[in-house]
Amino acid sequence: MAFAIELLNITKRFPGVIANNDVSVHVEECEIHGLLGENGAGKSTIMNILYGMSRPDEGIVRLYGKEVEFHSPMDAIQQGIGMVHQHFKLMPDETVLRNIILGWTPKKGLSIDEKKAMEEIGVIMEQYGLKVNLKAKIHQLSVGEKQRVEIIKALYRKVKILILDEPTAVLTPAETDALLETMQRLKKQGCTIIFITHKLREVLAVTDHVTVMRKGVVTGTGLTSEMNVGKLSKLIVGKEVSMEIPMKSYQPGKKVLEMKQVSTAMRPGRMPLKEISLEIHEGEIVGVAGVDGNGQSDLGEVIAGLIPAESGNILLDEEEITKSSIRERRQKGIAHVPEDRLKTGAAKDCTISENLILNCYDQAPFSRRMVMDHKKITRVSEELCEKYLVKTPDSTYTIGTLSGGNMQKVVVAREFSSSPRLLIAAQPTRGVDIGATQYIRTKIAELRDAGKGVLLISAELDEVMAMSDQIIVLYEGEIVARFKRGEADEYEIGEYMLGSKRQEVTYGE
Amino acid sequence: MSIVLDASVWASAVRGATPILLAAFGCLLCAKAGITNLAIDGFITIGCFISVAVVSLTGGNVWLGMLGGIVGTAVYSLIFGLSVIKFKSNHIIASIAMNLLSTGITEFLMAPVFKAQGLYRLANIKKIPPVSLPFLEHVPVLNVLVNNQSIVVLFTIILIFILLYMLRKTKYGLNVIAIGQSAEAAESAGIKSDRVRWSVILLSGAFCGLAGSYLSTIILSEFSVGMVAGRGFTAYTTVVFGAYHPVGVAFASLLFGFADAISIQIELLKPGIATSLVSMVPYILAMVVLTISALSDKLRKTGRLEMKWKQRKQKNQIVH
Repeated sequence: MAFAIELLNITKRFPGVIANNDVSVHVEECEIHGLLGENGAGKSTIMNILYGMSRPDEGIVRLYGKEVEFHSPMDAIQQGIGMVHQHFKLMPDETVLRNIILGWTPKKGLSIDEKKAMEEIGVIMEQYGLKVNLKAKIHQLSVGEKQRVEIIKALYRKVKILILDEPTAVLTPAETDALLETMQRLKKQGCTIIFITHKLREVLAVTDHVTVMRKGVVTGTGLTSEMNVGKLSKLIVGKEVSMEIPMKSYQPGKKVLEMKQVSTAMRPGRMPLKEISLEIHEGEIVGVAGVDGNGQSDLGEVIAGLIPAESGNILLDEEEITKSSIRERRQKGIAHVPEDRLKTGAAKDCTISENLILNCYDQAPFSRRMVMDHKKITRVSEELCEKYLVKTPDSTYTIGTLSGGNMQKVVVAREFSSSPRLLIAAQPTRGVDIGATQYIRTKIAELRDAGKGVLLISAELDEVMAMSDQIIVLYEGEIVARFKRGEADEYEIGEYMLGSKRQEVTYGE
Repeated sequence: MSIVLDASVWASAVRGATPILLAAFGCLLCAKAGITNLAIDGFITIGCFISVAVVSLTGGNVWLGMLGGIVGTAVYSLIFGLSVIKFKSNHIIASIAMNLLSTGITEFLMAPVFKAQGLYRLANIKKIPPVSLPFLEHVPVLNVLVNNQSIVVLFTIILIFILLYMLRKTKYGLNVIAIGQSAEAAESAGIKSDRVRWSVILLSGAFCGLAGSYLSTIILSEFSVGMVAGRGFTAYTTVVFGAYHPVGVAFASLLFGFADAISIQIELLKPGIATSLVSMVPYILAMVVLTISALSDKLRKTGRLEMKWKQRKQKNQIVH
């Protein structure tokens, strides 16, 4: 079979790093080719080169056997290469139609020929089984629909090669399945797809070939049918990782946190909580499953004190904290890994060590009589960096220079080292690579085994299911289901997540 | 009450609205492309100056003055483009600098060009006669507003529809909107966004140049320091108040034109009231308008408006 794309001996250097070192990728016509690797492995760099967003320092790109040179994405599109970015590039207040034809507009006289565009897009939607309402505005669509718009946008540009950059990171299990199905259909219709992802399960399910990258080089490539989870993860991280997280058997202790019918106020873009009741015990991980935007953010923040409860009570160790300030709550033993590490988790322009002591800078031993002891701060920071495997020359660098995974390790180090009673971990492994993910999960498990209560909020259902002793499902700000470990599979939980099923959830017998 | 219905007040409201609307269109186009252009105030000043200079040098030819105003101001707007597009400076700071530069440069050039200070009257100007449209004589409202107005007024009215068409129906309009809403979407669709940004700034310069010509050679026949009197800022107000929609902006600027016209009328009819107080009317209106739109924005952002809507909807559903 002929190769659609050949990337041959590509080298790309950035100041201080070699992002791609002699990388070669061969993609066959009409196949789904998986591209795997941790953050910073060089997947994006090589794809940006293929898409014309940057030029390689060395090496050549061949398309259907012919050598090509792209100077801009427009060149790539004209040669039939389209890309669906992880962050959608859409105009929020415009219609789907106008988004699709942007930059590729059929004209009739001076005007845009909307009728012709509509017909053409109709044919594409029919052919590939992708349905979207063309008259709807983008901001009215769900994430899955927006992604479909991006795919249609690429197909409308007569693209034969599609690059999908971590397309499933933002989708629910059901939406993911639908996308994987769409990919199969595109392949049957003659499309070639490059599928970039973190998730091994998806790669194994849908791809024909797979290429794995690590630290800027290709560490393995081959037929997917000859791969398995163990083999792939070894290629990705360079050593065998066990996906199992060691945990002691489940022995819950006293009640740590109790929420009694807590509601929060309506805010734009947020789903408020409606009379949430919840209990977390010592030595227990309570996992919160749910499609993003069903009240998860409010749940974490109302316990941490970032937003007020409109009604209801929150009790920590049987003690009322509903009206307590954030600092009081922290002093009573609540630790919080916020979901947005750049906004609320870390101060981007501060150094790593400053970030590490954000929650206790005003207490001994870091501060005495309002003067900070920098020697002590540096020593403790260096220790924490070492203990939590933060990859940095030293702790005086600003945290903004770290990769997402390392930044998260700093946040985790700060929160976990404060020896809390209760840990709220909101999306602790979002955008974090496999090695760091595994590490953070292990640390959460250690806290649980040490008898702390943990509330784990995650959009990754796999994570919630693997970690949690109890799983609750949030839908439109309400708890619609509660399971013990192993009581339900992901499809059953998925039904509750989408609101098609619900149970009566009560606490206290 | 009689003032409000007076035909001459309305005709003069349209005249007053025209330069504001022209400048507002420039500002609106820039805003659609994601550029906050407050430099329009200075652009109008430059337009006034160049027009008067050209008219005076060509022995009173207003047509050439107009052309000069449009082209000259467009060229002048390139400085703003350079700072905002090329050097990526803060739009507001660049605008303030442009406005200070415009005032300074025109004041400075008055002496060598007009041999005058502060005020220069055009003595030999050949005024363009207003356009009379006999077929409108029996159409009630339009006759008052549109008949026997300057050609620039008519052009500006047509411009409302051109702009509307351009933004909704043309490729150029879509490209402009794309850059404003998501520069990334535009870039990834292969649109040369800097080129589009340059074009909207040039257009805003041209529109403001025409506004300046209209002000200095059609309404008046002079150039004086401070003659623009903040019309650029009023124009920006109308853009916000008109919800970034050409028709909305047109009505908003008519409102300001009307406030201007009525203050002149009050001055004439009730000499007892201090003129300075009366001439504050448009500016007070501007402040009220900005407060209202800021408040409604805030309500929208905190979601209180939406909530009211939802509550009302729910109530309705219960009733049905």
